[in-house]
Amino acid sequence: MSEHSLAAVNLRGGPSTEIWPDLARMVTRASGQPVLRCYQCHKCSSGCPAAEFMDFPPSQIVRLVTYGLADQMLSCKAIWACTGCMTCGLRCPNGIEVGAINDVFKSWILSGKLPQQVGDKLGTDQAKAGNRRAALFHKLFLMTLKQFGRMHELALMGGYKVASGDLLSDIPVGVKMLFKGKLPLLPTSGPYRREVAAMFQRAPLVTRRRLKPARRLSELNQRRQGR
Amino acid sequence: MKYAYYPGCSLEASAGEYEHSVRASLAAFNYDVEDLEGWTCCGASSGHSFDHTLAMALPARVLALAEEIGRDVIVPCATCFNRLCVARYEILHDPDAKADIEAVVGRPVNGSVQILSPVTLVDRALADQGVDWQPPKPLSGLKVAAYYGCLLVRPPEATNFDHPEQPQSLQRIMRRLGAEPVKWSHGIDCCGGSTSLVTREAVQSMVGKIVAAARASGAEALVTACPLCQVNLEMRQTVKPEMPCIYFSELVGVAMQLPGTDAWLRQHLIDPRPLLRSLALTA
Repeated sequence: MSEHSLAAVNLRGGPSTEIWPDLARMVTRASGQPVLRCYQCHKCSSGCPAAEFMDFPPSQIVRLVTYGLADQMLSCKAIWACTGCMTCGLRCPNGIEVGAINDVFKSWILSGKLPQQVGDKLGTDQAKAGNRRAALFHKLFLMTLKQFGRMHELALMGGYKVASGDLLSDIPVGVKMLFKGKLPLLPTSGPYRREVAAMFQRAPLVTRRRLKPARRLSELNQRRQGR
Repeated sequence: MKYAYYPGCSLEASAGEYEHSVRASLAAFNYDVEDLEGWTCCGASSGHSFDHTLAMALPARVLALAEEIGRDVIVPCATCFNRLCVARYEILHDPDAKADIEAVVGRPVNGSVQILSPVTLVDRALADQGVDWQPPKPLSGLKVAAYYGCLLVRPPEATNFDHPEQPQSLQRIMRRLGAEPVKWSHGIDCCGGSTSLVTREAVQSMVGKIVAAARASGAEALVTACPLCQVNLEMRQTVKPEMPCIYFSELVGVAMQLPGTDAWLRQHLIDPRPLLRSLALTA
């Protein structure tokens, strides 16, 4: 764990020393997670199945957010290595699900709409640099879904393989799946696809409107009391 | 009582054997199911990486369809099950979010229907069978590791599925069918299914740990109820001999001698038939 020690958050060197003080509040609103409750018990990092593949394990992700280090968050590998298994949220004594925090940063990057204060400091291209593949996968998934209203696994897998340039690695298993009838050639679709496409148009507008008025922390805490 | 059935996209494609075996198992236990008309994708793991409202609205549309016909909905896919449960939880607990979701979906959604996994339904049906009930072909000698993965059990306040750290329903089903569920440590660990295409090496390591743990506990096969896990666990194994990962409903089929069982088992990337044949469970 030595390379994951807090010294990794190098305040005097590294990619940027810029601190965005309102980041924690912003992420709390967007993710619904009570970020400021974290007292660094590291239960999330201990139980995280993907921690060994992350540059910042979950507990440090929360730390970066509370310190307001938006640049490190947007350029780190950890948010893309997160599998969204929710083990962190299950075990956190304060009810913080780190995966939901990662989702906020992923959505800022994927939609290309960083909150202005953060976006001014960092181009989206830079944020995407090391994480193009994961971003590409999610984009293709949503494109397919918007197109057909349902997922077409062959289009997703084939599209990803071609676009990522990682064409050869999974050919044997892909061919096997085709022969086993696991990847139908044609997608299923119907009139419902228009309804789904319309939802894609409306949702981001609602999300943006929702984030504008500051929702009170107490309100969020109330919601989490179900735990 | 009639249930609505929401298969989800995986069951139309990569999890064909799950689709057919779940339908057959539910029919074998006299559950009356009807397909949900005009269903769409739940958004799965990419939806919530892109936009929170959209990630809630996509499954909420499915809930709205079920509410329109007033039927509880059976969701075999663990990912869909999870997304529907989380959306329902948010609709029930956050009035602001409910209004936003309804605005995006364009239909009223109240979260008034139950979301059920076929695991729960089969578990309940078997519990109703009386203590001396035996399936026509008990799975004697089959040692299995019950693997739940992430999405059925987490987050517990939304999914309400069994126990979040020590779930038992799959083990109960297996015991009732005559198989022997082993005690092991990795039943609710993540297999990395959602990032299987993107971070192959990481996922291979996660799958390797799960399979090694199952083998160390004496299991010969994994039993699951998640199509993402099933494909991922069979696709990303690197160590020989490979361990098959079987849907619980397929084993219901074997034990109850349901028609079509052989065709389901044939679809696996790692063929489980040699194992079942060696125990004289299938022809």
